[in-house]
Amino acid sequence: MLAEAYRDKTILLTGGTGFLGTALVEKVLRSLPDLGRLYLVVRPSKDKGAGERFHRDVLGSAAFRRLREELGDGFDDRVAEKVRVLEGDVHAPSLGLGEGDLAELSENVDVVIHSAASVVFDAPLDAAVDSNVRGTVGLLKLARDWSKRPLFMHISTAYVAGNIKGEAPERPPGETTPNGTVLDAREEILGLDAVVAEVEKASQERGLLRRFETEARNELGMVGEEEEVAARVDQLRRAWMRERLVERGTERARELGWNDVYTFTKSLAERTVVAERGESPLVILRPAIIESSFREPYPGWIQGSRMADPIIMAYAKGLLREFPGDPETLVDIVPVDHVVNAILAAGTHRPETPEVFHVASGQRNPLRYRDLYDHVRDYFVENPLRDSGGRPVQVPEWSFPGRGKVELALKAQLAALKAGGKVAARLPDGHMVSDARQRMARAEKRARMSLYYSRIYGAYANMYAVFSTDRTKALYEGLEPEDRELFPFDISEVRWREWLHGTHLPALTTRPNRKRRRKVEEKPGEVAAIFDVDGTLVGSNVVSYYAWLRMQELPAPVRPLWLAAFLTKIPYYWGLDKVSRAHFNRVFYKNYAGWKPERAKHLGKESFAGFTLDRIFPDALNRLREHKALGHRVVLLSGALDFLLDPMKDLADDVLCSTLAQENGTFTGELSGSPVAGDARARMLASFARKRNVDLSRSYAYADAISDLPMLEAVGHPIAVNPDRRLRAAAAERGWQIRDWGKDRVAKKV
Amino acid sequence: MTRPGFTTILEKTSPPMMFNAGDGFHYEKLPEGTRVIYPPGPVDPLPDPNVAIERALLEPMGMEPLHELLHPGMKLTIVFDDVSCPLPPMKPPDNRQLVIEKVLEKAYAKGVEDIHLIAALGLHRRMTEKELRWALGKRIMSSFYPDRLYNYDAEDEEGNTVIGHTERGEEVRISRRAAESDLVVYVNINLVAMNGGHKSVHTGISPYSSIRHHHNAETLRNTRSLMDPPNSAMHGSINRMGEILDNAIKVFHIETTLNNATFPAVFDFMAKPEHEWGPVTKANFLANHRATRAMPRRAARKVFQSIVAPQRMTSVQAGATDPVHEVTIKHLHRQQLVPVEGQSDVLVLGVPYVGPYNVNSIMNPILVHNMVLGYLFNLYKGKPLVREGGVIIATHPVPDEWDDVYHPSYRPYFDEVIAETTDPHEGERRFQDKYALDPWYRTLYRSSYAYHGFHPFTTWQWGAHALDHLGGVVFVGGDPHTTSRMGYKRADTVAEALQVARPIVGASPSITYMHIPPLFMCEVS
Repeated sequence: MLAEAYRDKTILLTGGTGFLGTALVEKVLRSLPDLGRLYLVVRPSKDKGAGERFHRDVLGSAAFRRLREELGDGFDDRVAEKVRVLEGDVHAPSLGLGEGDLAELSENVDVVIHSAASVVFDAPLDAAVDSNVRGTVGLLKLARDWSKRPLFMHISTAYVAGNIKGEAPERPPGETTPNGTVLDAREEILGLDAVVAEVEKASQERGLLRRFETEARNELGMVGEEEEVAARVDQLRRAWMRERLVERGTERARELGWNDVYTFTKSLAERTVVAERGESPLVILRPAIIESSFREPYPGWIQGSRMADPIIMAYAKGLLREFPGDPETLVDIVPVDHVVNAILAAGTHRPETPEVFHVASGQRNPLRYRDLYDHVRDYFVENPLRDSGGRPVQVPEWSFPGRGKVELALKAQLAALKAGGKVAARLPDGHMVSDARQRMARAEKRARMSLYYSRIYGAYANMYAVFSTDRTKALYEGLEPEDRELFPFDISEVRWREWLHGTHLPALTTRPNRKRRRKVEEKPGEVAAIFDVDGTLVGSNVVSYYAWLRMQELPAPVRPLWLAAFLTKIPYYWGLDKVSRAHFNRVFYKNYAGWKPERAKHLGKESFAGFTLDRIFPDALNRLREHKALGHRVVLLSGALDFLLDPMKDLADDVLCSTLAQENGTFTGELSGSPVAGDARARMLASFARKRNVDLSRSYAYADAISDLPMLEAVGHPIAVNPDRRLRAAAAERGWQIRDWGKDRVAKKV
Repeated sequence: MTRPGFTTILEKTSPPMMFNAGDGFHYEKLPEGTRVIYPPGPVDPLPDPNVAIERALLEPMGMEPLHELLHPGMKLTIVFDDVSCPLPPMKPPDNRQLVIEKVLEKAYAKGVEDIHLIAALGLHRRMTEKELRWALGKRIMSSFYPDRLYNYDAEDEEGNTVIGHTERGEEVRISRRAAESDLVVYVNINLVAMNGGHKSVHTGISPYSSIRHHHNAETLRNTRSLMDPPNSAMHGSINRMGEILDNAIKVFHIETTLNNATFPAVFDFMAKPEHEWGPVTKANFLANHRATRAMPRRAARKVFQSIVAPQRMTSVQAGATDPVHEVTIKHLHRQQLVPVEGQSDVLVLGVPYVGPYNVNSIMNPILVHNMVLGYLFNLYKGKPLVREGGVIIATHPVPDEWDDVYHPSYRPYFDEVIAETTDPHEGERRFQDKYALDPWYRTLYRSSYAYHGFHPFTTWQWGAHALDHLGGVVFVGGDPHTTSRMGYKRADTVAEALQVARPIVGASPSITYMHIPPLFMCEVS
């Protein structure tokens, strides 16, 4: 009797807050009432301590609904009596625990279940090694000296078998890798450390840092202060490192016959555990793909997105047009409750030599990709997902052309899109171009995602290993009949189609959207009112400002002459602007080359009374003051130059605009940063909103030109003000408010 | 010897009286027995202002001579009065130019390099480049403008700093540049007794957060009168701040006074008693009267605004703020004070076209209120010229006209605040912060040429003491809409106004006509 075997025994569990861990805690509390104690090492998160995390994330899970109902008021007592949460970290030396806690563990623990791991397939190398190898070894080294010499149960994965064909035995890892390379785990780990150090060093390279800095400045534009730029540079550097480390890890894993860094490091962990176990009894339990529960705590309980689920959802959303796998390969799925029960069954052993169990379905109850596809397709044809407009999504039909062909097609598509993108980037920022760009961006996103899935999961869908489960079967059959009832893990009992249609797929599609839930919990952002300036707040434009400033510089008699000469250029500028606002800005601002910044500043100040004031739209002003009175954050977002907008800074909480680059105390005529127009304006706004915690979906934007469309689209309440023809059409089509603000004067000179 | 101010009692045969009435005139025979008070004639000017300035700087009161306060490497800030005085603008060279040129001369001689000049406009509008040039002359402009000669900015947070708090908790915040200077030289033109002294710094280079402690309904109600600093609650608060200032920074004060040669020869009728008018003067007046009536108001306004006063400097004194100001007041009184016996039931006033806040602009209804109840009513020492519960009859059309560039907050103030309440306390309580902190008014104050959003409140509050004191105000020729909204009555003539005032002051009230301009003060016994 398992319940009897665990009487007064003590279990230490890591990874207790994960999917498998939560299921394990629930089962232990429910079915092993006589257990002495369950210790959980829980890492505190950013905003929650270990205790709170356990109570909210673990006990708050739907998994405990059944037990809460069964025990009623006794639930809290049961938890308090059986569970002790230790605040620690598997990656830290001595688990990050104090001496008292360690002594307590040393004295009491009979079974260690090590379930903490990084299950990210494309984790960067350093993180994967840290959590999968070092964490495991650290824990083992502690446990092997404890007084009861506890059983060490290492939860691994069946996929450590790597790319082999045929049966993968339930046997500890040998000296070779899946492709037959001889591997010394200890040396390999040192080698990986060296790779990490090398990448870190490369990331500090000067040329690279300069590139990050340019990128950071472009991105932050006017919003960026020095510290912000520096922080962003570091972020970019880390992202670059991360990318390199993912690449290097994957590279090495494939070299040795594994698919990815996850299975590679999990295998390294197994190898190290075997080598370092000393006198400790060791069980390695290798589940395949763990999916929603078959029976307990209730059918279909699942948490987070498991391995096969992103693909299923991408398919259901119509994003995955073709599958990069061999339809005849096995997709080795096991329900989570089977894994839990197998762990508990194996946890009573104290083997002299390491024991290995596969919890998998491939050998005794195989599910092939073709079947999975059929079941899933049938389900979504019957129960389609709905798009944002409430229309049913059509699921694609897969022909399984093979991974190579799928990837080739995707790559060709990406290459074409890239070429198209390059052409589009050279085209000035016009309306049609931006439309085409958007369409290309969507197509590219789809292709990239498919390629990503293909790279990450494709390998699993081209796996020809069959995980032997003879020992696990024997383990199950060795249970007493009552235990087989209470702790079932006979995989042959699962009917895949029924399980998918009746349990798993409904669970996948009906669970609450995690993202949405998180959003509600966040502190609500501020509401902003974003005003374009030229044409929206002030009836003027870049050109007339320049003309006015220039005239101030000239002696009165010369002014008409200059103006006459300048007017001849107007059609050229007009045409340029029609094609692209950003392009026009860049060209036009060259007129300021050679100007002195102090003089510009003085003239800028004078321009307010001399020019701007006469042209301000009173309606715009009233609207702006209304927003201010409502406590909104008022933002001027304009392609105009900073010294012209400076006098208006008191009207707004923030002014985002263009600045001219300086050299030797004069303007060069180049903009510093990209022109605040078109998409750049929307990007600038998005980055600004993130930084200042502005909730764009509740914010207002006012603008007059088609080039402002991306900025208007970025907010929840866009208002087109005195719009040009194309913006008027776009606004009408989208059902936006259109305002024609009168041009009568705010003030007239006496 | 100057002719002193004098009083006559009108007889049956006396000629009609002329009145200033904004951008025009009024001409009417007043009842027999009316007392008319005329200002003194212009005091003789200083024979050589430059010599007098030199002497004042060499022999200052209560302080070392200026040149001993100057040394190389120091920070020197010269602060000067803004466009609100003198009225009307004086013929160059202006006192400020004469004084500042002398100060600069000394500073250069001592090797002082870090010099800034600040127009002390407080919450008034910025001075235009042209106005600055008018007041300071070309030489100073070309050397300092715009980088080191600029308008004070009360809304520049960086540009102002707290130097302390009075024992009553009033915050003393002033221009940072001044606060951080080794020496501040303040150059005043003292047109009326109200200005100068400590009021210069604490309104000229102080922001709203400080000014509101002394410019509010409560202090202005208890200010009896504004023109008599020892009896003014406003000046009490200012002097408390002055103590803090004296401990924090060194201020070398230079005050100058002018005579009242306000009008050029073509407008000689304004300064001459009617009974002295010959046919030419009378014809000149009637021609002007008729012309201003025939002209559109805008054109008439232009004519008036073109007047440049031939005023001349009558005194200059320098040194520590208090002793200097005491002497200044004496000089002002010498020019302006007219002894008068007893109050009267009705005070008749001609309202001139210009006040301190509408130089080159329109005197809007709020400013007319300010001119009559704030400025002219307060031109007394001792008791007001009109008895408690008496009536003021003022000649002004009070047109519904507004300057949206200079006075953008005034029309909204009239439409929103005055339409709701004429009580200065209530207006202050309910509306003041909204106006004072409004982003658009702040923008216009800083970047255009607008009075601060708070300004209409203070100009209205100036009338607080008069509103308490008076039984009524009647505007002769006043616009029915504007006068009634402000709580005043109107009439077409002074005779009719007296009928309107009858329920308040009876059928045969005592009447005094204070014959302004030029400005003068009555010492009422």
